[in-house]
Amino acid sequence: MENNDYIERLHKYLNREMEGEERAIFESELANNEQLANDLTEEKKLLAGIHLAGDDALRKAIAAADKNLESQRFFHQAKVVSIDSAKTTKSFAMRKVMSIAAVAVVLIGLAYWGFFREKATLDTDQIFAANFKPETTLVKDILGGAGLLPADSMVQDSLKAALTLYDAGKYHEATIALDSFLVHHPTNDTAQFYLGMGHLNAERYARAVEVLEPITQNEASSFKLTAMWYLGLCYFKVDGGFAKAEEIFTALASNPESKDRQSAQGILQMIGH
Amino acid sequence: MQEIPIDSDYLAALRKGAPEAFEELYRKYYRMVEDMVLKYRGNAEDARDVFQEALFVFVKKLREPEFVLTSKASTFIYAIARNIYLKKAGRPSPEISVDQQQFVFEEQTDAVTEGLSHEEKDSLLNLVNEQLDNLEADCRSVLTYSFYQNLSHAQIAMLTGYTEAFVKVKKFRCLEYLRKLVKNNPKYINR
Repeated sequence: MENNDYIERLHKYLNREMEGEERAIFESELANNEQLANDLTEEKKLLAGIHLAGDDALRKAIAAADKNLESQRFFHQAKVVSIDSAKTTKSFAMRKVMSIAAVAVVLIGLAYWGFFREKATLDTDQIFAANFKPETTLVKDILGGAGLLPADSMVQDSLKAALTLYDAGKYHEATIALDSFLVHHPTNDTAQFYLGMGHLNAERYARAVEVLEPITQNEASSFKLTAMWYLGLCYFKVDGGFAKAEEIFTALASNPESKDRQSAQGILQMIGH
Repeated sequence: MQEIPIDSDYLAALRKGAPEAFEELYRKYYRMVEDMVLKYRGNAEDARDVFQEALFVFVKKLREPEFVLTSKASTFIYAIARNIYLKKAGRPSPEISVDQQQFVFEEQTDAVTEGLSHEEKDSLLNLVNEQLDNLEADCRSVLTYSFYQNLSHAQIAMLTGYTEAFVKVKKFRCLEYLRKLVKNNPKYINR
């Protein structure tokens, strides 16, 4: 098969670019010419192989981008795990089975839910709105040299740049900068805290929960109690988070070291605790 | 959301498989798809799977020489991803309006791979991939542009810097070389 016109004709047929009379003539030849039929079969295999290799290369290029971004913690930043969905199974099939069970649960609870859903949604949104203020005092102190920055001046500059974005209200940009910073300094709780705050200010509540939660478990972090306050507010904004919010504000309300103690007590009153 | 301008430079980068072009798609559109999947009660892992599949469809479509993107890239990717997710999750798709029909893609089949079983596809993929690796990079590129992306000689000339006449000569020369390598491979004879 060294004649390019001959090969082009085979390709034209295989790619369905041959129509009407031209196609009919070709198929007639095909029925009577064994060599042509064999060449066509071989050529189809070759082109199919090239197509499959092309698809394979495209999938690999996409997977490589995915992997590279994972190494940059892109998905950690982007991951929005709602409190309920985090508990769902990985399997689509299994989820289908679970959804049937969920329907039964929903039916049983429907009367109660129908009566109280609207009130509960309204209340938690109102409580959040009444109590949430972006954290601006501490960040200004940090930027002004009040400590909580790394000793190394280059590292300090990098974190300061990210916190300056936060302080300027550029929350999305701040989360990107902080996420990059955390790649190299994963245990820096100042960066962790403001990453969570950046997500919270950008209304990415589930992401904020994911970032703030570990800080509230970190006894050594000076951000622990403040992170608890904001985490509690975040839980008001995510599905199924009410009980966690109540638990956090109960803990804060009885903690004399928390500057938000009285506010937490007020929230507990508002939710009828 | 700031859209990626799908201009000729960006298309060229996608056609060449430039990593940064793919990462740009992630940076611009991943969160949108993730939010959609979570809204439908999927999880972050589902979102990554769905986004990869949606990008595959999107990029393949975008690279078709005759394809013209008439909507925003975000609209296109969102619609594809939603269809993929709902199908995988076994959920009924919402009613699709006429202007949304363009986003409904059944499993991608190319004319030349139609009718092949999974085993045949796997076998061919292994065989051709192995032999493509034995070709020079420029030969591989020209074959991919010509016979996978179906680009014209003029388009390939722009991507490679060759003249159109040289592209035509080279593509048949490379194809012939690949054909010989494939046919001489024992795996091919034994099929």
